[in-house]
Amino acid sequence: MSDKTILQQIEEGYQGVGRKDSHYISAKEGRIISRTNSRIISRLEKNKKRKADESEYTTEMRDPNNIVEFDNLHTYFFTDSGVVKSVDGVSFEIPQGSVVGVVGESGCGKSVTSLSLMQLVQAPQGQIVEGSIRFQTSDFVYGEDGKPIPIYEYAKDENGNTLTDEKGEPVVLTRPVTDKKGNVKKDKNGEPVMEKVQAVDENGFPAFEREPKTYDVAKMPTSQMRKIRGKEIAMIFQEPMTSLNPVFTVGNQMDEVVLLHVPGATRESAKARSIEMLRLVGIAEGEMVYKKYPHELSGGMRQRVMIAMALSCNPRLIIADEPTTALDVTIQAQILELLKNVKEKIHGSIMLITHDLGVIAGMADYVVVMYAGRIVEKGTVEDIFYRPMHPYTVGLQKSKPVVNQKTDWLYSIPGQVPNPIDMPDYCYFKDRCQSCIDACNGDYPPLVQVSDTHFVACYRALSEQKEGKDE
Amino acid sequence: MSKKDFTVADFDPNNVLEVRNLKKYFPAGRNFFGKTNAWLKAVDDVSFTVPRGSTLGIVGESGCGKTTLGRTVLQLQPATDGRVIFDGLEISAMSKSRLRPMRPQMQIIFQDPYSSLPPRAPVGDIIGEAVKVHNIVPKTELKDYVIEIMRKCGLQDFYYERYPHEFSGGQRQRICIARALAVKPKFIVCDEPVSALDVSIQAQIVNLLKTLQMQDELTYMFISHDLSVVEHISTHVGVMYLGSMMEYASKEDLFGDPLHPYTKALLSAVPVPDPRYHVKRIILEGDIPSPVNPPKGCKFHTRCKQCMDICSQVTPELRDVGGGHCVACHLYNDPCATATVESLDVADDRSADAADTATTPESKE
Repeated sequence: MSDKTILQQIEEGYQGVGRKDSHYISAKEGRIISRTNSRIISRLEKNKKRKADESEYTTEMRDPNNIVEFDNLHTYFFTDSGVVKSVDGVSFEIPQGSVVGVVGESGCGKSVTSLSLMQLVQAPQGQIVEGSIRFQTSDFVYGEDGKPIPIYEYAKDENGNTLTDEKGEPVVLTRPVTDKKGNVKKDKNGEPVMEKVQAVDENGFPAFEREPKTYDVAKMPTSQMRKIRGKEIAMIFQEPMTSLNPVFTVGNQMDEVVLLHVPGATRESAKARSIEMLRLVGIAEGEMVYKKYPHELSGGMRQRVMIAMALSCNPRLIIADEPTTALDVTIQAQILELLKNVKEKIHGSIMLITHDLGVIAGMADYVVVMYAGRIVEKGTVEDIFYRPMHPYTVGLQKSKPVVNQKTDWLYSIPGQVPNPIDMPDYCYFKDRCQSCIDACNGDYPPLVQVSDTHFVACYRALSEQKEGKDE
Repeated sequence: MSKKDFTVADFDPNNVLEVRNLKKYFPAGRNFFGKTNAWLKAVDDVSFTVPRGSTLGIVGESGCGKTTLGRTVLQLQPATDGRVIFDGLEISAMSKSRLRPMRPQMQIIFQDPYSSLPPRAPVGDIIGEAVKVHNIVPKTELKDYVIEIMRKCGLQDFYYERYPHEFSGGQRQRICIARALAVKPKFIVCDEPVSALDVSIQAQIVNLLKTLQMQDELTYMFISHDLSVVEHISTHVGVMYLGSMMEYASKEDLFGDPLHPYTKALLSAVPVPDPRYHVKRIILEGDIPSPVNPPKGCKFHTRCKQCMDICSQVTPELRDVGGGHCVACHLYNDPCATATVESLDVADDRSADAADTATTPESKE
C-alpha cells in the first residue's frame, strides 16, 4: 500500500465516484468517499507523527538566494462530498529580502498555500499530499547532551586580542554566580562559584552556535515543525481580535513567544524584548500596552501588537495574511508603512496575501496571481501591472474602480469560480474567459515563460510565443 | 389623521430626501441612580439633501456613524433629534403605524448577504413577502411579478424555489437587491453592499445597481468605506468623521479638489494599483477618538496636521465655500470670524462655548 503515492491512492479510491450529470452523491458513493478519505488521512497523519531523523527532511535549495521555494505543492481537503483541491500544483519562490504578493479571490487557495508553509492547515481533513516546501533557515547546533551549544565570551587583553592559555586555547571569561538578591554564591570552602560568561547576540539574547540548514516543511514531522513555527516563520493574521487571546494580557502573550523559542530567555529579558518590539511597531507607550488586554485596544493597535509579536524572534519570513482587510483606509496606510519599515529593520522577507491589487502594487516586488488553486500568472510587480497576459489578471485589474479615473461601466468577469469538488479538465478559467482560442478545449495549460521573470498559464500566450519563434 | 399633517412647506420637490440637524445618541453610561450620564453621539447634527435620481455616497472610517445615519434616515431606529423629510413628508414625526404605508418607498440593502437573508425561506418567498404585505400586485400575479424582478436582477427563474444557502455571495446580494426592488421603492439605502464580496463580483453588483438606477429612476444613498467604489457610483459625496459631516460636495469637486484635511488624508491613503505611482501619503497618526467623549472644538483636531489654536476651541460649521462645496473646517473660514475668536485667547470652557455661539451669526454674514 505504502509504495503507492498519495495521488495514486486518491485516484484509485475515488474510482466510480462523482458522476458529472448528478448534483448529489448516492449513499454508496458516500461510503466509498468516507472510506477512502479515512484511509488516506490516517496514512498522512501517521506520517506527520513519526519520529524522523533530521536527514529525512533536510534538502538543498535550488537557488541559495531564495528563502522559500514552493515546489509542486498539493494541499487537499478530504471532505464527505469529495476531495477539494485547494492548492493544486503551486510552485513559486520567495527571494531573500523581498516582498512576494499573492493575489486572488476568496477560495483560490492563497491562504491555504501560506498555511501549508506553517503546517497549520486544518487537520485531519486538510493535508499536504504532494510536493515540497523548501525553507532555508539556521538552526542551533546540538551537543551530545541534546542541548544547543552556547558561545562564550573570551577574555581579551588591552589591544583586543583574545587571550590564550598554555595549551593555546582561548580563555573563557568567567564571573561569580549571584542569586536574585545579588549576593554572590559561595561553595563549601567559601570560594565564589564561577560560571562561564555567555556571549549575547544582536537581539540581546544568549548566543548559541548556529548552522545554516534547509528543511522540507512538507515532510517535517509536527514535533520538529514547532521550532520553526513562530520563530523562523511568523504569521500575521487577518483578524487581530480573533487571533489574540482575550483572557491574557498583551505582554503575557508576547513574552510567551520569546520564552518558548529562545533558550536561556528569562521573564525579565522577555519583557524587555516585548516592550522593545512594541516600540518598534510605533506604539509609544509600550509599557502601558504591555499590561493591557486585547479588548482594550483599537483594531489598528491590535494589528500592531500582532506584528510586534511576529517580530519578537527575528523571523526570516513574515507571512501577512490579509493584514489590513479588517482595517480602515487610514489605519491600513499606517500598517502598510510599518510593514515596509519593519522589513528593512529585520532584513526579512514578507509573503503578503491579499485580494487588494492596490496594496500589492504599493508593497510587493513579485506577484503571484492564483485562481482556483493554481497559479495563473507570476512575475515582477511591473510584469503583472504593465504587461498582464492572463485574461483573469486583466479582468481583475479592470474590475476595480480607481480613484480619479473615470469609467462609466466597470468591467466584470462574467460567471463564477467553478465548483471546487469537480473541477473541469480544461482550463479552469475557460468558462469565464472572453478571449478563448481552440487550444483552450485541451488540457489545463502549462505555465509558460514569457520573459526572464514572467510566467503565465494560458494557451494564448503559448500560441503567441510559438508565432514569435516561427517568425 | 390625514396625510397633510406631515407635509413640510419648504421642501424642494427636486429632492427626494432632506435631513435637517439629525442627531442620534445612544446611552453609554449610567450613574448610580440609573440615569444616563454619557451619550455616544453616533450621528451629531448632520444635514444634507439628496436630489431625485442621484446617488449620495457616504464615506468614513468604521465607527464614524455612517450606518447609523442610514438606519436613522429610514426611521429603522428613532432619531434623538432633527427632522427627516421624505418626499415632502416629515417621516421623523410619524408613528410606526403611520409610517408603514411609506415603507415600500424606501428600502435598504445590507452589508452581509449571508446574515441578512432568512435561511428557512425559499427565494421566491423572501422576495414576495413584502409584495404580499403591501399589496403591490394581485395575489394571482405574485409569482410572475417576483420572477420578473428576479430576471431584472440577473437571477434565473428556477432559483424561485431554492434556499439562500445554495447561493454564492454575489447571488445572495442579488437576492437582497431583488427583495428591495420588489416593492417599487424610490429611495434605497445601500449599506456597504459590496464590501463582503470579491473584486470581480463587486463589479457585477455595482454595474447592476447602476443599471437599475437608470431603468427605475431610483435614488441611492450609498454607504461605503471604499472610496474608489463610492467615486464610481455617486453623484454627491459626504465625508463623515465621528458622527459629523466634514465635507459634502459633488463627486467631481470632492475627488478633484478635496478641501478638508481629513478628506485629503483619506484620499491619499487609498492604495493605487500602479507600482510606479508614488505620492507622499498623508498618514494620520493615531486612531479615531472615542465617540462617547469626542475632542472639543473640531473633532478632527487631534489628528490634524494643519491644526490651529481655534480648532481645539470652536466647532467649525459645515458651510458652503462656493459651488455647493461644503466643508466644516476653520481653514476655510472667512478671516474676520477667525480674528474675533483668536482675540478670545484665554478661553475656559464657558467662554469657548460662548465664542461658538457668538461667531456663528457673524460668520454667516
